Amino acid sequence: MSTPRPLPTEIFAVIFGNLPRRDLYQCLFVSHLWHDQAEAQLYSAVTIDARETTHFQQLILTLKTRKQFLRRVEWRSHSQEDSDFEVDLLDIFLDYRPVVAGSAASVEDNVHYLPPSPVKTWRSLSCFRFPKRLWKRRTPSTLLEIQAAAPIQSDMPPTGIPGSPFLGPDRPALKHFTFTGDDPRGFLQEMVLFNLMSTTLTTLELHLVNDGQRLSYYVDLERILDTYPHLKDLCLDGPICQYEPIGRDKDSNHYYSSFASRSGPATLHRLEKFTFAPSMMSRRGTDAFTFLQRLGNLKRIRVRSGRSYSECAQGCRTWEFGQALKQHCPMVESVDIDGPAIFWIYGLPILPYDQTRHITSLADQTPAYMSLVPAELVQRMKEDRLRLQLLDQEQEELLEGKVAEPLFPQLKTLIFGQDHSLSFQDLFSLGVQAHYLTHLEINSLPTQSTEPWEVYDKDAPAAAATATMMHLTPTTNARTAILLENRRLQKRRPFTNGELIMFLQLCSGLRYLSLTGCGIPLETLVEGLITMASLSISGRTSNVRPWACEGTLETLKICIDVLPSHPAEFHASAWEHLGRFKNLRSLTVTCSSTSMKRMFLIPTLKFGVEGLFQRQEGGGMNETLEELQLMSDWWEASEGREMVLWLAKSCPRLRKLDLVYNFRFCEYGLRRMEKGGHDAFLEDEDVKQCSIRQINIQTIHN
Amino acid sequence: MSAHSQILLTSSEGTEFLIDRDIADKSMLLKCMLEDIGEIGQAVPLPNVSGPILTKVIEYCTHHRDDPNFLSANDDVTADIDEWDLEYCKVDQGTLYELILAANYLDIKPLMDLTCKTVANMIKAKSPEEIRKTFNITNDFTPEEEDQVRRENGKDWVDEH
Repeated sequence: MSTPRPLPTEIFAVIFGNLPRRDLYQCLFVSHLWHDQAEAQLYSAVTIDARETTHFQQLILTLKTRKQFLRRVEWRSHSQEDSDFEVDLLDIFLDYRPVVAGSAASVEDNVHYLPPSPVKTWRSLSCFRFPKRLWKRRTPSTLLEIQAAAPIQSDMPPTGIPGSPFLGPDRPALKHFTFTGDDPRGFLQEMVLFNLMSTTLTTLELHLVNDGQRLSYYVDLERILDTYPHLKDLCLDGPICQYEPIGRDKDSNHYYSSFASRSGPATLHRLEKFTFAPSMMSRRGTDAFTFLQRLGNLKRIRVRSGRSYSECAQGCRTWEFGQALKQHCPMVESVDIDGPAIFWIYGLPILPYDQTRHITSLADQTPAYMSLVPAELVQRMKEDRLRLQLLDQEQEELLEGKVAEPLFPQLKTLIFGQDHSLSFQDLFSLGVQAHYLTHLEINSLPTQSTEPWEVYDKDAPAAAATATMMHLTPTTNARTAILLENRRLQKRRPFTNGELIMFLQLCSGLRYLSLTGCGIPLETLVEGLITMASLSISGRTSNVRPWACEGTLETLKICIDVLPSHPAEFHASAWEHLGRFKNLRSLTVTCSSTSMKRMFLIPTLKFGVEGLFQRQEGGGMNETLEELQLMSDWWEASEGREMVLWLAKSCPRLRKLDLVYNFRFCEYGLRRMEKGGHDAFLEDEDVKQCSIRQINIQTIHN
Repeated sequence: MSAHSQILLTSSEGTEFLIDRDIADKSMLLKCMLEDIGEIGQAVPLPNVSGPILTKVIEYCTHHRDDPNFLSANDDVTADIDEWDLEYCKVDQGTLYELILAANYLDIKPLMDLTCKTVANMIKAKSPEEIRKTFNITNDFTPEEEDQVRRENGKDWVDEH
């Protein structure tokens, strides 16, 4: 063996970055050189959990002398935190070292004094034991005093500075700081939060959950942005987050700090990724969203919600927020929303008053045949007609792509999680206009709540003007007026499964599509109703509706609503439909999670799964497929074995096959446990030898 | 510049290598250099990389030339190594180290990640003595020092996570 050149230290760091803690610990004992490298890696990322103080005692002790290695810290707070722990944390994060009471003690190496503080509350801190009870009861006003006593300076000199008695010279150069807690008590947390090394921190995360007592916690967003000018990723998350500074002047319209006033591209903040709760959109005041002026580098927006829609709707200023984002953050390319949040992707115009007259006249026309029906019915029919005409007209306008204005013209990635409020109008406009969109996940159908659909673009000045006009104009029928009002304000509405297909027929260029939460009814995939007759006559594929992304899609996660009890032809037809995606690398066919009736495609040869690979002339997906996930709790061993071998034979590139069992529905569940159950074939020699390298069995219990 | 243009590289011993431009572009060092100064028509000297190692690096880049996820290929620390890559890394330790240094110098991140991961796998689940044997390292700890390391670093915390 040749004697290797010694590796430079930065390469050691990369190698050790691949090792779990247990192995790093062993490396400590190898040699002095390895010890130093492994130690730096071992203590670069730690989680400090307040609930496990005893367990972590050794770790904390160790960290006190190894602050310099810390890069990434997660601090999990808990209401039962004891005061020793707090002192330890201050020492670690702020290099605040033990202080002896009084000024008579001699100066030792590891002890420094708090300078006399002008604020009375500080006096209580000039001893080693922190009077925790006192902190707990602090009101916001004293908090402000404390903040005033320790002003934040963004470019802190390396030594402790007068006025900030807590900052020692050896604060760790943290890059990533996460605070997770059910007890955001303010003092300790804020002291740490606003005094970390501001020049090194690039990721700051706060996850605040309700501790059962407090309904809201005030996060001073502007101050955080001001304190950490190098931040790239900021997450201020949690149902109790309110993005208002404490103790601001309630009478003033201008609540927020000077952060925004330093406008202009020269002072753009570096922030690229921003996670917040929906209450961000309920900030008050005319300058509520001016902070966005300096967030021109923003690329990714995530909204995480733990609130209900009725809470979200209170004071919601979605329209204004969206407009501010459009104006100041033109580079946003990713929007990711999970949980109830009223958020729009497109701005819809308010129809000018003269256009509404045209619609009114539509409603007033009375075709001749109507003279034959009772007046009461006429009125109802007229309303229905009007409603349908409005829907038709709206769809036409959206198709033209002129009325809906994109709030995120550069959008590439869009993710909607649970209970979202993606409207038909937004979805449809995405299909028409979002040319850069390549990644789309919609994990459920839109929410059942009514609140998000009641929020109009009403804070727009134009809407107010139109509303006044309407108010002055006497309309013949109050109910028509309400219909008109909905039209005028472009009331959004949830999309349906069928409209999802319409969107897919429009949206080209998608590479990643996940529709796991919304089952696609088989009948929407094809024109006309599927009947046994049409299946047997038409050669099955002639009337399939084309999707615009057939040629580009690489990853597809989908569930098609077919009952397992449906005839095999139905399943075969759906498999054939999926066979159109020629460049697919990863396919997941899952079951509808929303419906109680479990619907999924049966992937056996008996149910026509070979339809997936039938179009081989132009190269089918069997040439490209690398990963496949299928529901498998239905099958008998012989069918399963046959299927896996067939897949291995058909797909030369397939290397990962996941078979999902859902025990809630699995009638074979018990049998599976027995020897020779229906997955026992996986042990067969020819299955083991087949070209699929990884065959996993996943079990779901919900 | 056309996609089919070729670049001449010179290894530390002065051996010349003619490679396609898209292969050279896998190296961020070469890519940025070629973008900055254009193709100058003369050989690019690589004094830090020997001929055999450069051959090996070119082999890697050629195999992954059409890989669409090239830059993020080995990002996942826990993911398994691809079969071809696994075979590729079956070299003696000296060569592996040289590959790491070359990948670092030429700035080819996936190769860097792959080779470092391979070294990490050689460390995994071994005792300190076994590690020393694998990497031919002399133990320079006194028993007292070893004790101190043991005292300073809590094993509970290490094992727990």
